[in-house]
Amino acid sequence: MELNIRRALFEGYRALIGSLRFGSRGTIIWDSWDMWLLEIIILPLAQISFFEILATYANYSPAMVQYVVIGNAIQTMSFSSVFAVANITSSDKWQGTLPSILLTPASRASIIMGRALYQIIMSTLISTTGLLYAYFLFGVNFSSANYLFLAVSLLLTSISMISFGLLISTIGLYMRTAMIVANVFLFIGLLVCGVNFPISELPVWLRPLSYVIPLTYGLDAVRLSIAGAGFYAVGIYLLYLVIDGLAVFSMALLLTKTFERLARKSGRLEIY
Amino acid sequence: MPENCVETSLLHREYANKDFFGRVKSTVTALHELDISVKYGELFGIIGPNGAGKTTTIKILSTLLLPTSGTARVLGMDVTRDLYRIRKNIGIVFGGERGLYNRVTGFQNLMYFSDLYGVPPSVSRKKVPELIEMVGLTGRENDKVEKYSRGMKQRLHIARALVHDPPLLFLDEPTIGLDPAGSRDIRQIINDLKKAGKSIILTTHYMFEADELCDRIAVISKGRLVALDMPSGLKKQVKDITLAEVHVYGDATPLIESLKSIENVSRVFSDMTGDRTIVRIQTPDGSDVLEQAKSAASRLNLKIIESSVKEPTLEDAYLRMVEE
Repeated sequence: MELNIRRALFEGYRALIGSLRFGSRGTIIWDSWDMWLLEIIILPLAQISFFEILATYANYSPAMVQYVVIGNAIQTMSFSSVFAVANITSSDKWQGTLPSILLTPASRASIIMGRALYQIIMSTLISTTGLLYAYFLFGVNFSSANYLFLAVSLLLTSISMISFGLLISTIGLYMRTAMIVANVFLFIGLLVCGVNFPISELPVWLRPLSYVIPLTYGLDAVRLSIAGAGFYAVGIYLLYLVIDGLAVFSMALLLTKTFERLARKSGRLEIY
Repeated sequence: MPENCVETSLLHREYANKDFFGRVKSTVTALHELDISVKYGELFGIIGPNGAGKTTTIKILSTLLLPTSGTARVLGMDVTRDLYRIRKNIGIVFGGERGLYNRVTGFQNLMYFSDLYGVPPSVSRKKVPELIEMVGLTGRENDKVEKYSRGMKQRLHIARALVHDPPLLFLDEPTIGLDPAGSRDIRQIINDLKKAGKSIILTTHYMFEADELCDRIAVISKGRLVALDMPSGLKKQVKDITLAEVHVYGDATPLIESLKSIENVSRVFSDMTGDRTIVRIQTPDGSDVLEQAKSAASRLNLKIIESSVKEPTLEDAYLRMVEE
């Protein structure tokens, strides 16, 4: 029994490390430095600029324009943490590697976590660049910022958003692709997570959706960290972020098993 | 240890076509109550036309697809329940170019799958170079797979299926689309694997390949098992026919039409090769029909390049079985 547990842990670890090493090279379409730089440098600048100009045009107050700039600096991580992670299963379907992967005895949790871990670095880098633009180009005031809280908030937001990306990725096991759903959620995130306006402005019936997506808590934690709020004020949002991230990740694992079983039943694993 | 590494009983698979609301519009039977058993160390072939159910069988046996009903045991384990243990002990090779990570090297592909099969790094560091050598990719292992030819990709597929040294291999049309030299290399590798003691289930469209490699062959048509025997046994089933073959220059359509009207001719078919047409006539009376074919060709002013009477091949047996 003990031997079996040790063997399972070893195999899980091998699959995790292998998928982590392999994930960025084997499964990402934009696997070259120029593409990475485009994503890290140009993407946040383009998105923040668009919404900052829109907010100014709509006569937002200076404080609200800063709200929009910070919101979009963080939201840009969704392209890496949600879109790219959701693409993992679809990418395997397109390449025809999904059956080979699913025929290995490796734990699905190890594979998907290993593949997604690399995106934590990418999404944190994207949003960090966005915050640098916020400071240097858009005049956001960082004088009171608590940089430790800010770093922890960014990292936890990235991890939780990746769980959300994994949740969407599982759909690709059963449906032709998860990319349509990922696209939809990118825009739903813009709408309901408090990126461009507080969620108190949303219709009441839409607000529950805000509290499902980890980005909502991440944005609150980041904004409070920049404003210099104390440990308890930031900490409660970080706690929400962790709980939501864990819940979403558990759901992703559950759905992976469910969709894999359904796909074996229906014969849809290779349909792309 | 049981005698058989694979056993199926009344194995049945249907695919349902559903409408938008999930209601079943129609069902297609891909596999109809298949009963086969494969012995340890055997190279077992499954042949049949497109859509016969070959790949469906492989998918069910390899745990990729659930059967609608019936049972299948692989290495003594149930394909619907013992997924983990079956997957640890089988290797599968899909035909075609897809199924590999193209943007990384062949070596990296093999190391990754070693990790996924839980092979310790100390083992995979030795095993992977050995496999690369075995499939003839030494010197190209550090090239990206996207630069590989189709034959090289297929050899890498085989190496990938062997990273965890499984006792049972499923090869699903491993030579499909390969040139003759590439196909010969793959057949040699398959032969070597059999000699090394692997049990192998092979599906193929190529009859000479099945004839050359397989110990026993199951012929499947429209999801049903229509014959199961050694290649020699299958050929005996068409001992009553011989094959008269005439090679002529140019269009042989009039000749083919006239041959069809000869008594005792069961089938006439032809192939164009360069500027010649090869006309094959299935008949129990090969010598007599060959003489009649030669006369007919002379009457039609067709120049005969060569002619002969041949024993039936596995392809003749196969064609009769799937057409009956």
